[in-house]
Amino acid sequence: MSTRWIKLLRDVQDAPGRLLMIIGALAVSLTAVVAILVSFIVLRREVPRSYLASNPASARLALDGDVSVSLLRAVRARPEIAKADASGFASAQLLLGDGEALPVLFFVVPEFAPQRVDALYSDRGSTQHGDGALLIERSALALTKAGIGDSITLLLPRGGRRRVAITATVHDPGVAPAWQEQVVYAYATQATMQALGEPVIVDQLKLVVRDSTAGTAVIDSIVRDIMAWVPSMGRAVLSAQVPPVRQHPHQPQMNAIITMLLIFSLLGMALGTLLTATVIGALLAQQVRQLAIMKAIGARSTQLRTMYLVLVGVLGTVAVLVALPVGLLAGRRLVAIISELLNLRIERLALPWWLFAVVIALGVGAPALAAALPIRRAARRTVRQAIDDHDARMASDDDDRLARWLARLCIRDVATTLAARNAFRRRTRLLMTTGLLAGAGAMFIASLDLRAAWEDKVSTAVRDRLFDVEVRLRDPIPTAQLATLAPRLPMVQALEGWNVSGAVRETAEDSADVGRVHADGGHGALAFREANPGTDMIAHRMATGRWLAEGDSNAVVINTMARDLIFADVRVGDMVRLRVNGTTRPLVVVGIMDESLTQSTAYVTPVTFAEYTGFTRTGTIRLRMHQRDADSVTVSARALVKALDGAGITVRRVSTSARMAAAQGGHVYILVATLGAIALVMAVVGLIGLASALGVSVFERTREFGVMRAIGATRRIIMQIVLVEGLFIALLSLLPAVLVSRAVSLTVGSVLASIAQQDLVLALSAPGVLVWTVVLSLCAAIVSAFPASRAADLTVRDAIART
Amino acid sequence: MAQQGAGAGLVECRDVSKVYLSGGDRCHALRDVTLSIAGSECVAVVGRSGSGKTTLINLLTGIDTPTSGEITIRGRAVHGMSQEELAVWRGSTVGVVFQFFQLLPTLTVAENVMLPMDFCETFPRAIRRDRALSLLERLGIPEQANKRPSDLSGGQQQRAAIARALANDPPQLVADEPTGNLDSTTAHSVMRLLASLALDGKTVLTVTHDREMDRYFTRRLALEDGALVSDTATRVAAAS
Repeated sequence: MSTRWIKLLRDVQDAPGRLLMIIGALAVSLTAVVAILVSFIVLRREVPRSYLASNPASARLALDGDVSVSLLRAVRARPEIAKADASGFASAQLLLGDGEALPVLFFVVPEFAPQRVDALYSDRGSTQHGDGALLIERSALALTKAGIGDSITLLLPRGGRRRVAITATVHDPGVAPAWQEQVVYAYATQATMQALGEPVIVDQLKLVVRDSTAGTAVIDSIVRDIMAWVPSMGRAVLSAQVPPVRQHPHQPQMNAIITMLLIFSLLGMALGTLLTATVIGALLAQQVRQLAIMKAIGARSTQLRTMYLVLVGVLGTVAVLVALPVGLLAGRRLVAIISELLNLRIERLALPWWLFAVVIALGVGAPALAAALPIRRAARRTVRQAIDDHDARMASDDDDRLARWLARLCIRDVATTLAARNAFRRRTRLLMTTGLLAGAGAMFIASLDLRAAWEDKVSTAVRDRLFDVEVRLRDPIPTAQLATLAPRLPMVQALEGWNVSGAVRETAEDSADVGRVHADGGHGALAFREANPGTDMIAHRMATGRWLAEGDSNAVVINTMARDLIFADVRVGDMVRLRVNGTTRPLVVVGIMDESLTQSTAYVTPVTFAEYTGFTRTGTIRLRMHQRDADSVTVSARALVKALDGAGITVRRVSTSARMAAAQGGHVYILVATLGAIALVMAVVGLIGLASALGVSVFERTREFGVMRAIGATRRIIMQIVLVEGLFIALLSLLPAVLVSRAVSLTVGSVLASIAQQDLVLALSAPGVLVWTVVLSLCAAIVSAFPASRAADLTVRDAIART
Repeated sequence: MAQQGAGAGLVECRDVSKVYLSGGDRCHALRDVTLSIAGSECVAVVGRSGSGKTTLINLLTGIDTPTSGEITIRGRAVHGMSQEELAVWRGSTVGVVFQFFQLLPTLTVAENVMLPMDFCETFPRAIRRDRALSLLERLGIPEQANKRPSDLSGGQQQRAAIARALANDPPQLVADEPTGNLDSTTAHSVMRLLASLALDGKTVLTVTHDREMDRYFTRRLALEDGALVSDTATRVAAAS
């Protein structure tokens, strides 16, 4: 081995700690990048592939009766249709052992095989799905608290209580995870439902158009043709839905999540790279004299540059070798978590070659590129400049003035003044260190901002929801009966009828009553609800306009989610056309209600609702209990179902506020936690940078410390100087951290808002700033302690003798 | 003032000046120095602190560049070279010995000596170590070859530094106060060594302010306030 490489190797052996810091920082940040990249690649490839493989319906038509075999054959024979199937829906309740009930949504088909549209994937249990089989969506099995082969108790709409065995689990890519929606998805044939005493009409016609490249406009046109043709086959089309073409219902959210995580992991990587440049710069600063000597005995700048770039390359390579396997494992785990979060099916985890090229470029190339500047600067210094560089110097007179001004802000003792001035001696190093710490602080504060914003959203939703239980009845009761019902329910403080139906907004483009709702009936749906103008079941905070008033005949109030997703072009006073149960009428938007974590909803008075839908009875009731804590509400809800049962009223579905809160998705916290984890990585990287900067600073001032000791400075004073310098640098990063955190909060907040389809009010989290200040100060004191102690331990002889 | 050998020397300086800017003030470190040094001369550069000795040495080794004037060494204009050209030129033409030895602490003594050969690739890799050992033997410290510099005494370190300066067999050796950190006995030993190198054909230029060392030099250049105030031949006595 050449002597120069021996020298480099010995340098590494003599100072392994700092180089290990580089490897650690690069490996940690690179691991995050690899993990996120793996999930980015796999999910973006597999989600559409898996979704399209299930032949998702291009359109679903709701007919006014059973889809006959002849109608189905005729549809399949149409040249523009590739596949067609029929299905129906039914709902029931699953009775759990503790008396609690969960809603069950049945997807009913004439037969499972061959299922042409919205195909299911076998998961566990029997793969022979015939009549008599009860299939449960895989994400719903845990909710049933049963296993495959176990029997569950169903309370069926016609009042029957039946025990049925779960024969298998399946994966339905078209529905959200059951635990998220708190609904059990079940699949059965018409014959099975018949056997259960619950005959179901198969009135949904599902179509896949032949032209696989067809866009929304083409599909809409085909659907309109079929809607015009169906009556000739003896049926009428009540509504049609054309969901976003070839797009999984969760695809936009998934893309947003992964992109956000990718951006932050790359940000972490950038900080790791910056740290490499800082530490290599520090290493070179310590070797200024050695570089000069090497140049004096014949070393060329290019030779010196090569030496140190190779060193960075080797460190990067080690980081890649550590990060790649760990990152691949973490990436697979992340894919599994996100798949579960979004109920996705991943079949292939194969990765493209370019991923590895990107990882090497990031792990080896980026640090080398970042370190190239300090290396080039150090290698280009003339021998004289290097030899003259005995101690750190002030950069300029202006900088002197700045340092003195800053020093005047401090307590007027010499040690503190010295510490403040020392911090400003090396401006580039100071910038890099404060940059690292500011980045970490920004991420930390932003993650707490986002958490606070989300918690505020949840608490607002809870505060605004002034009811505790919502029940849906099997058979709607006369609305007048509500008044007589209340005295018979001792646990109930108040109750109101809150009928609901599905609606579709008609626009100029969608005049043929084509909606954009996904197969699960949730994504893109608009709820059409009756609400009493004088209701006290919700706190109707208006974003603009007014709440419903007695006597409103054609007024509608929409909530903020409906405004954002469906009525983006609508202002208060505008007229909108809503189609409900085949009837379309114009309604005037009188107000937009600020409503947190509630699906898109249009509220009308009970009178308008009845005119629209023809309903004169109440099928949905909201109740406020006397005891409103979560446990009491659960107990009261059970008692309520029994009491209603005793009154001859069968409950089809019960939702408690606790269940609703669970359904509102704690999964957003996973994103906030991920952000916190990235902040932690960045904080570690930043503090390593601070430790490194102080270490070099102490080294550079060895002689100065010796002189100070010689003229009477005690060990305590020397330690104080270095510790205060560390704290000073750390606290300098606070203001930029707060400023950058605002940008991070707003960016991530907009992504989170689109995922949750909610506005987020992102205020600066004062506790976040306070916690970060305390954590930063403590950590800065800890990482400064070692160089401080080293400086304090120097004897005068050691310090003066060192050159 | 005598200017021996001007016009035909190994080292030629013509009207060389060096001005430093310090806090807005101009400081004349060297003023119009003209001199010529021939091969095999052993030259002492003397003067008080701040007289310009180190500046002159720095200019002659290409460590610094003149503000005006010309420096030619072995026919090459040093003042016009780029830093990269200077590095290559220095490695093969000038051996530099520093006051504080400046051996690289992480390398052994032998490796320190091999380093210039490695940078300049003046000798094949296979023979570099043998050459380093041979130089160390010549300088009387062969047994120190595998030790780190910190394990050596000051005199031994300076001998190792001279061995390193000789590694590429340069025709010119420049030493900046090489005995400044040594005791009297060791200092004489080192100076004898440098004088013997001049006898072997090297041009040796040494900064010193120790009058006791005059006997080792063939010539004495005296500087005062940056100006060359005397250039005198001395008697050679001490190499033996």
